[in-house]
Amino acid sequence: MTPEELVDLILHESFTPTSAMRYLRLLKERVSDKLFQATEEAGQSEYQLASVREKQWLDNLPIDLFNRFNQNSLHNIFTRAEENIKSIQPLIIFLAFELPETEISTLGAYLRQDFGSHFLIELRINPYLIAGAAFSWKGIYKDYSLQQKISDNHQAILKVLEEYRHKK
Amino acid sequence: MPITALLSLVAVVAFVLFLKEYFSRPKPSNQFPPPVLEENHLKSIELLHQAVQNANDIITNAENDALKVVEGSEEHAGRLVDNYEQRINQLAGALEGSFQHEVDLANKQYDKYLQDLIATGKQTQARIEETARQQVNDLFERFEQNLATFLTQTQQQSLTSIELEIKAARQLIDTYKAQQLMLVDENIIAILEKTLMLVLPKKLELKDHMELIKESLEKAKAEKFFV
Repeated sequence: MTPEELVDLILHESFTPTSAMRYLRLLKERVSDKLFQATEEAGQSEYQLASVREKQWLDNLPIDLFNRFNQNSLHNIFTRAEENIKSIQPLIIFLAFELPETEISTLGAYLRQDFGSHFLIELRINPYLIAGAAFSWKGIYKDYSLQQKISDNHQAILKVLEEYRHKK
Repeated sequence: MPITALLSLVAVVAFVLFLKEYFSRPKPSNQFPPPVLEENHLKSIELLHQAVQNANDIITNAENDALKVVEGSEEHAGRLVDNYEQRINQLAGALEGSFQHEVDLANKQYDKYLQDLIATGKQTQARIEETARQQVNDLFERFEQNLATFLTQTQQQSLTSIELEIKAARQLIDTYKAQQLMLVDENIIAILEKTLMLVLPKKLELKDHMELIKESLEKAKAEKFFV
């Protein structure tokens, strides 16, 4: 198993840097357990904290996958995979609410159609956006939310309200 | 007759005065020659003798006249007194009658005056009462008018004051309303955003949110934001 393959494996399931790192740690823990014959209790710490989906993924991994690791290369592979993942610049998406995991996956998959399979997103909450999203990419922030639309059409909205008030 | 007596009296007095003057004159001195003096002396004696005789005649006449006058006058006086008494009595009677008449007349006039006075007094009393009643009525009428005027004025002033207060209150309200509307206008967008922020996340369904997010992504792609 090469670090790139490992990254592909991890990024196949995760769309955010945080979840990718979590998946990576889970897998590392499971592989370590397998390679070093750790007891069930000792290897449960990350697994216990994992979500149902993560647990399902981990449990459904093919057994031969763990055979592709050895004790010598384990640390190196995971370290380089981690560095690869950390080197990926994510698209920071500002949302007005917290997306459920399934929708994060849907959004991530949607974006990967255009930007590649290693594209990651980082979600942040900003209730003031009201709806829609704002993006920060390579240090540049742009607001495409409903709040920005209202600000952009400030005068038009005021005009409408004024007309309404005069009609009254 | 009285005039004659009076003249006689005057003559007597003149004679007496002459004699007094003559005998009181200072004796002439022995400067005059004696024959002239003797002559003058004899003439003077004659003159005096004549004068004395005349004076005696006059006196006698005067006395006679006087006596006559006195008698006449006494008689006259008696007649006069009688006349006087008669006349006085007549006069007194007439006066008494006249006085009585006058008194009766005066009494009648006085009675009439009193009656007139009483009548006048009654009339005056009636007039005074009428005048007082009229004045009281006038006073009450004026009082009513003044009171009505005062009440009307007070009411008017109160109404004016109340209207001014209402006007001021309305102006305050209008000013406040305008200020608040201005505040609302200034902050309407913020209010709208806040309202939407509070309402939309709860009202919009997940798929609507996803649609909006995708719409934002498409817009960003169209603007080549992800280059």
